[in-house]
Formats: sequence, C-alpha cells, structure tokens
Amino acid sequence: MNDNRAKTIENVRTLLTGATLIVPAALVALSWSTWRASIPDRLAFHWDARGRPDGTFPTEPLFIFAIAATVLVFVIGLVVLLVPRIDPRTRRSSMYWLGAVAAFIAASWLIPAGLTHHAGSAGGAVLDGWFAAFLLPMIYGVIPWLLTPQVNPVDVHSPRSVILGATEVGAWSKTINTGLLYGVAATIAGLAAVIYVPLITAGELDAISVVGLVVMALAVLAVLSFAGLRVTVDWRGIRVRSLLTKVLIKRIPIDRVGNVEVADLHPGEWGGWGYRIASGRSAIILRTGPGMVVTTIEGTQFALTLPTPEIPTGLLRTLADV
Amino acid sequence: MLFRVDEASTTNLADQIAIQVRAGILRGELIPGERLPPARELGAALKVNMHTVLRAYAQLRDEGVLQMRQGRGAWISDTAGSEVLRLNELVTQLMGEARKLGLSAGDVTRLVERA
Repeated sequence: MNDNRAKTIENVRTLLTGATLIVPAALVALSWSTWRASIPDRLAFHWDARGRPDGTFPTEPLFIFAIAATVLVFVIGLVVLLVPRIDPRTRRSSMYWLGAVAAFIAASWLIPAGLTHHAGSAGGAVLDGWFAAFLLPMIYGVIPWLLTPQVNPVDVHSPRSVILGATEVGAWSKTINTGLLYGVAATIAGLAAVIYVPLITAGELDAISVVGLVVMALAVLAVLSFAGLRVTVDWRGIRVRSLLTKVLIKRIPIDRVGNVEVADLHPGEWGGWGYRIASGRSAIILRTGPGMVVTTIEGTQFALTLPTPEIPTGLLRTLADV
Repeated sequence: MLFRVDEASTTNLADQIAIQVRAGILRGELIPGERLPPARELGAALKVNMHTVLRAYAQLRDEGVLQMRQGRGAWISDTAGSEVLRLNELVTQLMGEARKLGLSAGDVTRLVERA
C-alpha cells in the first residue's frame, strides 16, 4: 500500500511538473487571443537606460517565435520527465533550467506585447519597473524543480581513518580553485564594462544604472569569493575560508561533528551549484564528483566537493573520534 | 595535503614540515604554483609556533622549492617539480643498475639506509 501511495505521489508530481512547463506557452497563446485584434503591427522591443523605447520588432514573427519556442521547451521537458533512463538528479536540475528558459521566452513576448498593447503604440511603451519582471523567470524555474520527484538519498561510504601516533598532531589543508567560477566572474565583469562604460563616458549614468552596476559588482565579488577556497581540517574541526575575502564561509567545530563520510556529490541533490542552504542541510558544490559529507551531532548535514576527499575525511573521523 | 608533526621525534618540527612538503611535491599532491597555508594558519592547525613554520618555509625557499612574498604567502615554485623529476630519474637509473647486479628493491633500500 505504501509503495502504491508513493508511486501515486510520484505520478502526481510528474504531472504537475509537466503542467508548469506548459504554463508559459499557455500564457503566450492566451495573450495573443486576447490582444490580437487591437495590438499594433510593431512592438517596443528595446529600451534605453531611462526605460524609453528605442527599438521595435514585428508583432507576428515575435509571437510565432515565442509560441514555438515555449512549446519546444515543453516537449523537451516531457521527454526529460518521462524517459526512465535519465538520472533523477539530472532530471531535477534540468526542470529548473527548462522552466526558467520557458518563462524567459514567454516574458520576452508578454512584456513587450503587454506594454505596447497598454500604451496603444510602440513609441509609448515605457519600461519602468517591468525590467524586474525579466528576472522573475529565474525564480519561476524553482517551481518545476521543487515539483520534480525527489532524488535518491546520497550514496556515502566511510573511508579508512588516518591513524595518528600518541604524540602526533595532524592537519590537512588544501587550496581549491574553480576555473569555471573565475570565468563566470570575468564574464559578468566584461558584461558590466560593455554596458556601463559607454554610459559613464557619455554621462548618462542615472540612479537605476548605478543600482545595476552595484548589483553586478556584488555578483562578481560573490562569485570570486567562492572561486578560490582554502579548506582546513585540524584539531579544531573543519573550516572553509575564501581566498579573496578571507571570510570564514563555513566552520564546524570538532565537538559538533557526529559523522563524516565520503560521497559522490551531484548539484541536483544539494540544490544546485555554489553555496547552498536548505533546512538542515548546507553545501559548497563546485562540480559533480567526490566530496565529503559532515553530519553534526544535531543531525544537520554539510557537503563539500573535494578532489580527493578520502584523507581529510579520514583525518576528521580520527580527530572527532567517530 | 596532510601535515603531521611529532613532538617526540628526534627531527625538529621545522624539518618535519619541510620534509613533508618535499614529499608532497614528489607524490604530486603539491603542484607548481599551488599556495601553501599561511604560516600562522598552519602553525595554529599543527599546534606549533608560527615561526617554526616560517623556518620550514624559509628552508624550502632557500632550496628553490618555494617562493615567498610579503603579503602573498608561500607557493610551490615552478622549478620544484624539476628537482623531483631529476631525483626520480636518478632513482630509475639506480634501480636499473641494481637489477643488472641481481639486487632487489629491498637490497637497495638497505644500502640506502646504510649510506
């Protein structure tokens, strides 16, 4: 009976996940049927830094692209959901990206079409705070991700303990540099330069632009904070410190360590890449691969991807006497 | 990399740390360009004085294994690996000569220990 109930719940969740992927296409179709008679032939499609439209796009081709692309994403999503051979972790993380992409494509139609329809012409379609709506697709992806049936429990194993002599003190320390994150930071910085240097040199930097520039600068700092890490395991416990900011990102004192295991870590199981925090669990996931999972005496878990986790895990087991 | 120091050893603590860094390079655990922990941090982790770690780092710097700069810490020098590779080549040659004479790896080890 329990198996049947679990299977039913899984089927319902799969159905709901599929439904979230068709919602963007449905909204595009609904808006077309509602506005078709009164929408102008051209839509505002590009705005200057002040939110005034300075570029247009033909209405019908944009609608055809939006409906075709959102339906395609839905079909891809169905395949990913229903093909059993796909790894559950990959399936779950794919749902986030498919949901976000479908929502972004729908927003790329809905916002220009909605503003132009409301204004009556492309020239009057001022963007204002609607800019923030382009960020909502990233949040929309969380919905199908949450609904996708859960992945299997983390597969862990205990490594051999590191044996220390009675008069020996042991410590493990490693610098971990993630090239991909340095690349991401450089990309964001490059984009910021492309967007804001012309504005600054032209003297057209207004309040909204400054906010955007600050946000991008903070994003670069946040990514760089995790691009280079120093991980230390010693008599005090485990500590993870940012090489750039020297900020202590994570610390678990030795007397709070309940168990330590080596595990094969997948971003989908821990909420994605980077520094992840959820109820009772946190993780620093820099790639798919081996890592260490620390369970505290309170039952919370912390996971960290490491190139060779066996020795620090074995050392922490010895020092924590687990 | 795992560091372990033994207060009861006849080898002083700075030498123990330096030996382990050289061994780490030999095993490939430490690669050219890789940063070592700051002396203060490694000292606290091993419960030794920071200056003991600095002595170890200074020894390795003088050998060309490490590079150090004020405010930037210590990192494995680009030439550190080549020293180890040369040593590896010498060991390979030694074992080749030993086999010609009918000596086992254990025999060679005993000869090395007596040296």
